[in-house]
Amino acid sequence: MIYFDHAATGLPKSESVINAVACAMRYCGNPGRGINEASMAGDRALYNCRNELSKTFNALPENCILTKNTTEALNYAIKGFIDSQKDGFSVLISGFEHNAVTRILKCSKYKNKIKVFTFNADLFDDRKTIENFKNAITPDVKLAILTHASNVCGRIFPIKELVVAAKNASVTVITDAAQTAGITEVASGSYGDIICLPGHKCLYGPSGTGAMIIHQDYRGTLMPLLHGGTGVLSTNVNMPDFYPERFEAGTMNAPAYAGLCQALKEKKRYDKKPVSKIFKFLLNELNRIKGITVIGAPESGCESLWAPIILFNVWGRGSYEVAESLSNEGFALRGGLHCAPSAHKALGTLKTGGIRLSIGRGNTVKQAEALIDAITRKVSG
Amino acid sequence: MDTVFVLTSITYSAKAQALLKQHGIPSELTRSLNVRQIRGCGYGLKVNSIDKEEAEKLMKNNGIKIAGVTVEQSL
Repeated sequence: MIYFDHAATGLPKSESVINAVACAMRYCGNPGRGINEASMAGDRALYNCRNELSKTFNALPENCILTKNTTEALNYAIKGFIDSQKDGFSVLISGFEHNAVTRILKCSKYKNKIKVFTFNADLFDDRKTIENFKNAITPDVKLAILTHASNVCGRIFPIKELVVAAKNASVTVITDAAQTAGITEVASGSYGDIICLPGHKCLYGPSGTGAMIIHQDYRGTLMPLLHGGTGVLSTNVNMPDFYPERFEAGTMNAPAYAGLCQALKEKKRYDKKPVSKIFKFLLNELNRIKGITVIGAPESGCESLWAPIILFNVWGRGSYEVAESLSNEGFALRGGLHCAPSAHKALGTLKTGGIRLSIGRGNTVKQAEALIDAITRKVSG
Repeated sequence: MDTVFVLTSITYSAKAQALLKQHGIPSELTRSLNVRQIRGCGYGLKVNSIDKEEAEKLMKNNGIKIAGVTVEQSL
């Protein structure tokens, strides 16, 4: 299989990540549940992972809440914030959200509590995005949920500037870093009060890992979503008022986080230049093929403002059909709406969807050439 | 006698242990009766009493809340 679906999950995982998981499965008991060696092995696995997250994303270890993916982190962050607010308020979003954000905001439970406004992030002009965002901030806006990069077309938005504008207006920022963690700079504070990210995409950690990173200067109270055993304060009927235990109830997946810890340690060893080179190559080649429309892609010279994701369609053929046909030839891409109808609406592809290819570690120019050959055959065939 | 700092969670205990180790202070995790009497499900970090003052200062300077302090016999 030639894998071009890193936006879904990063593959392959390294042997050392796999070994870290396997080793932890042999030795880790239930973390935080005792002083026996197995439980403490589990404690070390979790703490070491938090420590690596804290170094990578500029946070205190205890403020790195371990989750199973970005979606869970976003649920904790967004619902935690909404539930903490006594009065109704407005929320700003960009228009490029994944369903992990929009489905929460559309939840009937919040119908009478929040009003959601789209500030319209501009695909090609950061100045317009920043201006639209500033103009959209009214006194009743308390929360902005920012998509760092679109999972559909890859555009990386000017989050740092938006966070400054939000901070000046006392607006809390929750950032969806699903497509940028491991690809470009992400840090709590300058990129958002609360960052939600996956361990399993471009950090190349195991599936079932993610984190909600809360900046140490964030003074708000987030209500917990999950209630249960935390290994501490058992006689207190409420969840603890300190991190991370406030958000981590039940048995934690210590082996998976041991794997994520290893993935974070080895992240620096990987050179990003091959991915950039292949991204530019595929953009150029796809733009040259008659019968292909590339959607929401950068102009030449602007590739660094995009995550390595390309959305395209083959004239006269459905996106699912083409993705399946490519899969039959051994190429892993993804067709359809990518759980982000909002983004497709913003791109004008809500009716058709699109075929998404995403480049990552392990991809080569030869693989990219083979993919172009296969796509060219789909056009002529 | 050893000093046992009672901390609020395993995460803070692990953080404290790593911090003390960085500064050359060995420590050991415990959930003894003395610890449980101060904080039912808390974790204790045991240090040699000679290191008590420095350990306490390091933890306070690094945002680690100490729920209580007790003593235990050295092994």
